[in-house]
Formats: sequence, structure tokens, C-alpha cells
Amino acid sequence: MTITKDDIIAMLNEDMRGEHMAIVQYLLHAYAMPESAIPAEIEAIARDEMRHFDWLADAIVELGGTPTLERAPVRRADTHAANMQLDVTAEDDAIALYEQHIAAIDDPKLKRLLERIVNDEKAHRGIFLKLAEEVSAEAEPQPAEASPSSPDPVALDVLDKGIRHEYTVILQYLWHSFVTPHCDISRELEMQAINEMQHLGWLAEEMAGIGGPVEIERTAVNQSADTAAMLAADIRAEREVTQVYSEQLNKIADEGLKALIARIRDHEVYHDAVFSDLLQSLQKASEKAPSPTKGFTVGSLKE
Amino acid sequence: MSDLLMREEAPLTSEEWVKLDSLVVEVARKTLAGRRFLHLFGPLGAGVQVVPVDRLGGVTGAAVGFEGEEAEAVELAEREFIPLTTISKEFVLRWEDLALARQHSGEVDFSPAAAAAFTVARAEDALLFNGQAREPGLLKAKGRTTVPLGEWETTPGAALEAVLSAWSKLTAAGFAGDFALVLSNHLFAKLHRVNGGTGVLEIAQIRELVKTVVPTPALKPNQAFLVAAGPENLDLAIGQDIITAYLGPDGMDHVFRVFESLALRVKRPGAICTFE
Repeated sequence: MTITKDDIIAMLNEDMRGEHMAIVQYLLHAYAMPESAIPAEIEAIARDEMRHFDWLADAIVELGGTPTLERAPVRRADTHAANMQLDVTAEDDAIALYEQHIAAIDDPKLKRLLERIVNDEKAHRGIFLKLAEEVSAEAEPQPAEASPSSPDPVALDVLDKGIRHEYTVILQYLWHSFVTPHCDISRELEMQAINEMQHLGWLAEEMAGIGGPVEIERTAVNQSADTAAMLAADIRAEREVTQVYSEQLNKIADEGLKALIARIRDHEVYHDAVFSDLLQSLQKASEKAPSPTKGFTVGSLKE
Repeated sequence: MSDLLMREEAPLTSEEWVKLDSLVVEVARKTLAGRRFLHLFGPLGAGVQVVPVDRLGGVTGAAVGFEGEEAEAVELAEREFIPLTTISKEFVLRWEDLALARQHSGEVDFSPAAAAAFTVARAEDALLFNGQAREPGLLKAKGRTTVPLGEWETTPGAALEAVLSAWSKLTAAGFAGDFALVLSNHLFAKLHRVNGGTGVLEIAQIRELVKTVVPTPALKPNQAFLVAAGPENLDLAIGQDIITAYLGPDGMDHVFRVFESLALRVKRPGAICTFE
């Protein structure tokens, strides 16, 4: 059977859904753990999966496709050990799927990419197996131990909204970086997405720290194909969240959380400036290249 | 329309594009002959590929009267759709020249663009005068009027006689006003001689009759025609006027294309009188 370009795009999008799930699942499992070397190791794996997500999206765009923002279902268990087992299973599933796709795809460049990714997944599987043993050897903390008193509802609301916003803009900036044909803008969008990932981590760890539920879900993501429209949407998102964070600062009692939100808010102000500069440069660039396809250039020479 | 000309991808600044455009237009304006007498129709847009041309019938009288008497409508002998022809010439800006201009804040040498604009302009005139496979040009238009060239080359006064003869024939057929005499540089040179004992150059006498005289190297040495050049008789339909697009890099060099799309629309071929 001949594999068409659309088939390959569909396979790569299926792989992206899996990577997307793995990123979120591993982060949730890591945030649920107390600070130690183990969650740091899991977060490092999640960063590997982010790179895979990025490579797959680039490959899809190169083939003329549109990268998906859907994700496979995230699974969570009651204990850290069970979470590690779920992560081993996720890696097993990913390895099996990648191997199917490697066998089906003829393009040597894509084959190499998928082989490169599957090697990572095999290594991750080994790490998760080891971590499963390590966490099994430790006593599982009870939820009550982690949060002796009931969490402040204002803090819960601030953190939940923050996590939702950060996750949404990570996906939005990444998707824009995949799709825009402007390399410099793509690079900058990716940089700001990485910064938003840091915010997501801070907020999720804070949420886990106060015993709140960490849910990584998104709102609507702007998927404009026009770079100027993308940047305008990104600027809007930054301005809206800056306002929200500024208003929340007046309501937060905890000084530590207040300092964290103020720090993130200041980053968002910086992102707004970065995106505004990019939009301005883009508009200047389009002015730079006049495109007189309307009206006469030489016109009539009659006297 | 997205950036059809792909100018954003080119390694040129806004100011450099303005200079390049000005140079291309300036060279084209200096070179083109057909546009000195043809009415322009358009521009219709870069994507337009065909244009209608109405082959009109003869000249008929209008109705005159108090009651709006009935008169014949202008007879539309036939309507055809003719393709617009694209004329193009590519040129290359070498990376060394661009690098030199950047290093020394100097100007980019756009002479290759000027050469391409010249080639396109000459090709436009060649197309208008001589036509191409499917479309005859002005010199070969089917149904055109003809008069003998006579002794234009050798005898003073013969050119004036030939032009008078053509003018008489066209006006007698009902074509009026907006006459243009289009001729080779060789025949134009011959007009700069005193006509017999009049003490006046032939060109001066011809200009009394025909305001627009267009010498052009696009015609062969013994070629000339007189035309009643109003848009009711013929015009030049422009899809995309002469413009420069960026094609992309070729190794380290950069390739551009000067191009246009156009079609000559001869509606009343009898308005053209060739000297043969």
C-alpha cells in the first residue's frame, strides 16, 4: 500500500498527540511529588518530550500539514509508584506506535527523526522503571500530610487561573512558532513559550504545595495563519493576563504567592513589549517591500 | 493578494526597492514607442489572462432630430477573447555587489535591472508592431489600409506625399483625429531634409498634419504606418504593468524578474495604414 503525504501527516499528528499527553502527564506526576531529585528527573524527561513535540510539528509543517494541539488522555493514579508505572506504560505505547510509523514511512529523513525519538523513549522507559522502584521503596505521603490545613480559596483561584492561562499561551506561542514562515519571529515565540513553561511549573508547584488540585487544561488557542494576526493575538493575551494578575495582587494575602505572581506579571509585561516590537518590525518589513501590483507603473507615454 | 512579487524575501531595503522601481520605469519610458500613441486600457490585474476585444463595424451616422429618431447602434461585428501575453526578463544581483554595498554603505548597482527593463520594453514594442504566432501586430493587422511607400528614401517631398495619401485614405474612410505616424529611425532621419523649394523641412510639414510622430528602432528600416489611434480603433490592454519580482536565491546570488502582461486590441483594423 502506498503511503501518501496526508497519511504521514496524520501519523505524525498522532505522535504529537502522544508527546503532548506525555509532557502534561509527566509534569503532573512530578508536581505531585515533594521536592527531590526524582521530580527533577521527571521534569527533564518532560523537556525531552517537548523537544520531540517541537520536531514533529516542524516535520508536519514541512510536509504542508497543520500540527495538532489535541492530546491523548492523561492518566493519574493515587500513588507516585503507580504514576511511574503509568509513565512506563505511556513510554511502551509510544515506542510501539513510533515503531509502527517507522516501518510505514519510507522517507529516510523522517525515519531518522522517528528513530531518534524512539531511542529517547526507550531510555525514558528505563528511567521510569528505575524511578518506580525508588518511589516504591519510599513511604507514600498521605494527602493530609501534604496539606495540613484547607487551602486559601483566593490562592486556589489565582493559581488555577494562572495555570490555565500559562498552559494556553504555551500552546498558542508554540503553534505560532511552528506555523509562521518568519524564522526570527518563530525563534522569539519559542523563547517566550519556554518562559511561560517556567511560569506553569512555578504555579503548579505552588498549587501542589498548598494541597490544591493541579489541573492542566487550556482555553481557546489562537490559530491564525497570518503572522501579524498571531502577534496581535499574543499581545492581547499578554495584556489581558497582566491585568488579571495585577488585580489578583490586591486580593492575595500570602506574601510568597504575591511575590511569585508579581514576578510572573512583570515577565508578561516584558513579553508584551517583545511581541509588540516583533509586530512593529513585521509591519516595517512589509512597508520595506512595496508591492505595486495595482495601478500603472510605466503607464501611458502619450503627450 | 499575498505578496505576489515576493519582495519581502529579497535582500533589499525599502529605499533600494524604490530606486530599482524608478530605474526600471525610467528605462522603460525611454525605450517604449507603442505607448506614445496607444490608449491604455487597465491595468486589469496580474492574474487576468484574457481580455475581450470587440471587432467593430464601419462608421455609421448618428440620429439627428427632435424626436430621438432611430439610428443604427454601433455594429459589433464580433467579440473575441484574446489572451494577455506575459513578457519577462530575469536578472541577477550578485552577492559580491550586494556585500560591497552593505560594507561601504554604498548603493547597489542595479544595471542588470535596467538591462532587463530595456529588453522587456523592446519586446513589448516588437509584440505590438510585429505580433506573435496567434496575434498579428499593427504592421500585419488583417483588414488594414495600405498606401505605397513611394520614393520616401530618395526623393524630397515623397514622404510628405505618402503621409498625405495615407491621411486622405483614412479620413475618407471616416477615421478622424488623434493620428500618429510611427516609423523606423531610418525613415525618420530622411524627413530631416528640405522639401524642394519650400525651404521647410519635411518633418515640419508632416507635423502640421500629424501631431504625434514616433520614430522607433523596433521597426525595420523601410517600415512605417499612420494610425488613427483613438481607443475606438485600437488600444493596449495591460494586465500587469512593468514590474520587478523577486524569484529567490541562486546559490549566493539573487534572481529577479522584470515582467508585464498585455494584449493589443485592434478593434477597427482599417484605422491602420501601412506604407508598403
